[in-house]
Amino acid sequence: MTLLTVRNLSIGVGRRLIVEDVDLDLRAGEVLGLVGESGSGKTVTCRALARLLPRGRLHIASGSVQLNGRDLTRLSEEEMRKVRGVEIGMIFQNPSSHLDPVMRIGDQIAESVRYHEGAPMAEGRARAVELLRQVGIPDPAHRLSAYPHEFSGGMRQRVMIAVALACRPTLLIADEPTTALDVTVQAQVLRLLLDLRDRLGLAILLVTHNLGVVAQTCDSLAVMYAGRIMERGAKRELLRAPAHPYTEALLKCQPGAAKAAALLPAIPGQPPAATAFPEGCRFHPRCPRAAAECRERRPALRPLDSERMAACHFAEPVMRAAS
Amino acid sequence: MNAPLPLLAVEDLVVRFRVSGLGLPFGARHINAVNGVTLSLAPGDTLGIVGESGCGKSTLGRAILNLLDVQGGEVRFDGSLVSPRDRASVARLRSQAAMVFQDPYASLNPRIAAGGAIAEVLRVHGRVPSAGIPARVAELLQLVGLSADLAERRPHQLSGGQCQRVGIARALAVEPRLIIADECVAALDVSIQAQILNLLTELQRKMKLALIFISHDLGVVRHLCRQVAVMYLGRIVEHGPTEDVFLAPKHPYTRALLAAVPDIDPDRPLVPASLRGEPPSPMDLPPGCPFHPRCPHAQEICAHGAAPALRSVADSRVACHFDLPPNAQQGEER
Repeated sequence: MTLLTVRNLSIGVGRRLIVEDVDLDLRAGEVLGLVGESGSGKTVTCRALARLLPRGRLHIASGSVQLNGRDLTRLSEEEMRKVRGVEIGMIFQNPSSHLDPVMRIGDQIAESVRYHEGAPMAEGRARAVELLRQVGIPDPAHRLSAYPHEFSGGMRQRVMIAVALACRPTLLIADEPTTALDVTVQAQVLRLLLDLRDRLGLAILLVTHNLGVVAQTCDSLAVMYAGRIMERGAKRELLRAPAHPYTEALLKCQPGAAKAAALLPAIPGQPPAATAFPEGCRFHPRCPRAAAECRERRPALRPLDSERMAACHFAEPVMRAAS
Repeated sequence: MNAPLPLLAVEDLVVRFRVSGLGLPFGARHINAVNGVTLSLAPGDTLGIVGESGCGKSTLGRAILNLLDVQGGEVRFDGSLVSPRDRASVARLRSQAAMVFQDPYASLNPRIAAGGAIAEVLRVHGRVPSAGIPARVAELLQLVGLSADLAERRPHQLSGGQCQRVGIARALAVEPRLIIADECVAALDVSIQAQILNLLTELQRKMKLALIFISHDLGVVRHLCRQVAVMYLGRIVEHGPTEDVFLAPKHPYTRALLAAVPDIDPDRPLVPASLRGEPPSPMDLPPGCPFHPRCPHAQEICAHGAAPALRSVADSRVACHFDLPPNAQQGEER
C-alpha cells in the first residue's frame, strides 16, 4: 500500500521556483533514496513534506503531499503539528544541533510522548527506556538522565532516532543521517535504520549525496539535479543501467569506479545556481549527449517501463547503452 | 621500503596537545594525537593517510610541515633535519613543501581576490621578481584550470571547486617538491571532486611532485595514491602498497574499515555492523594495542604492555601480534 504520494510538488522563493514538479511514491516498509549534489533541492523537498520550510522565505507553490490518504499541503498549522512526530519522524545530519543541549535525553524523548499522547511522566520514561534499547544504547535506564554532550557522535544520532520514533511514526525522513559520521559508525547507524524498518515496518525517505550508502540500503531511488527529478526507479536496475546521462556520469566519476591513478571521467562545469537554471534540460550544458532539442525543450519525466521513469529525450538509448 | 634516498623521512614523531578545562577525569591532561609515527616518502611518490576522525592524520600532516609543536621524534627533508630551533631549516622546508586545506573558503582571505592570494605567496617566497608576478599568477591560474578573468574575484564570488583550485595554485606557487593535501576534496560534490582529483593526478605527474594525501575517503586514496598508511589513535597500524592493503588487508582494523565502506555495487549487501563501539578517547589510551577493545581477534596478550610495533609482512608494515588468515573478513566481524 502506498503510504506517501507526492505529486507535482514545487517550492518557490518569491515567484522563482527552486524545486519543480517533484513526484515521489513510498510504500510502508520501503526505503527510498533521494540523491543529489548540494543545491539540487533534496533537503528543501523533504522539509516541504513535513511543512517545515522557513516561513516567509520558502513556500510550497503547488502540488500535493498525500500521507495516509490526507493531503498535508491543505492541513492547518494546528493539524500539521499532530502529523509531525506522530506520523512523520525526522532525523538530520547534525544531531548536536537538533537535540536540546540543556535537557536530559530521557526528557527529550518523553516530551513528545507527553505532548502527543498526554501520557503521564512514568509512562513517557518507560517508553524512553524501551526506545533507547531499540536504538542500541547500552544500559538505557541509566542513560536517561544524561545530557547530549555526554554521548559520542554516533550515539547522539541514535538518540535522535529514538526521539523521532517516540510516537511510532509510519514515515521516517532521514536527511543525510550519516554524513557527519565515520564509516565504521555510519555502518552501525545504517544497519540500525534497516533493522527498524524490518521490525516496525517503517517507511524511510533517505536523503543523501552518497551513492554507496544508497546502493547498500535503499529499495528505490530518485535522482535530483537543479531542482528537478532526473530519474526514478528500483535501485538495482537504476544503478546497473541508468537511463539519464546525469545518473550515468555521477556513477562513472566515483573514485574506485575507474582504474587507479587514471583520470576520472569527471562531469565538466558545475551545477547551475537556483537563480540561473538553464532553458530546456537543466543538465544540457554539462551533458555529453546534449543535442539541439535539449537546449530548447525541457524533457518531461516519463515512464520507460513499469518501474523506471527518466527525464531525458534520449533515455532509451542511454539505458540500452548501459545495460 | 624505498630504495632511492627519501625526500621526506619522519622518525618516531610524537604530538601531544595540552588540554585545559574543568570536568576532565583526573590525570587526563593531554590529547595524544600522534604517538610515534615513522614513515618515509621518495621524490615523486604518493602516500595516502587514512583513518577516522581523531586518529591524528591531520595533526601528522601539520607536524610534518612544522605548523605545530612536536614533542618528540624528528623530520628530515631532503636529508637535512628540520628543527623549530633552526629557523632556516623550517624556511627551507616550507619553500619546498606546501599544504592544501580542506575548507576552500576558510583557507582563503575573504577580502583578497584570487590573483592577490596567489601573488602574496610569490612575494613572500621571492621566487619571482616583482615585475614578473602578474604573468606568473596568470600562468598558475591556467595551470589549475581557471580562466585569467577569475583573478579579480574574491572567494565568495567563486564556487567551492574554484576556491580549491586557487588553494592548489597557492601551494604550487612555491614550486614545491612535496604537497600535503588534507581532506582537500571532502567538502566538494562528487562531480567537482572528480575534477580536482584529475587536476592533482595531472600536476603530480607533470611536476613529479611527492604527494601526501590525507583523507577519510578510502575510495579517493585508492584511486590517487601508490602507497597507503592506515592510522588508528595516533599510530600507523598498517602501511603498504595501495593494492596490497586494499586487496589483502592484514590488520583487523584495516579489514573492518574497508568492510564498512559502502560500495556502489547494488548487489553487495550492507555488511553486518563491522565494528562495535567507537574509538576510545585519545586522552585516555587503553594499555596494550590501542585497537584491542574493539578488535574481534583480541587475545590476552593484546591488552597488556606496549602497543605492538610495526613489523614487515611481505611489502607492508603491520602493527599486530598475529598473522590473520588471508581474506577471511566476510562475516567474521559479526
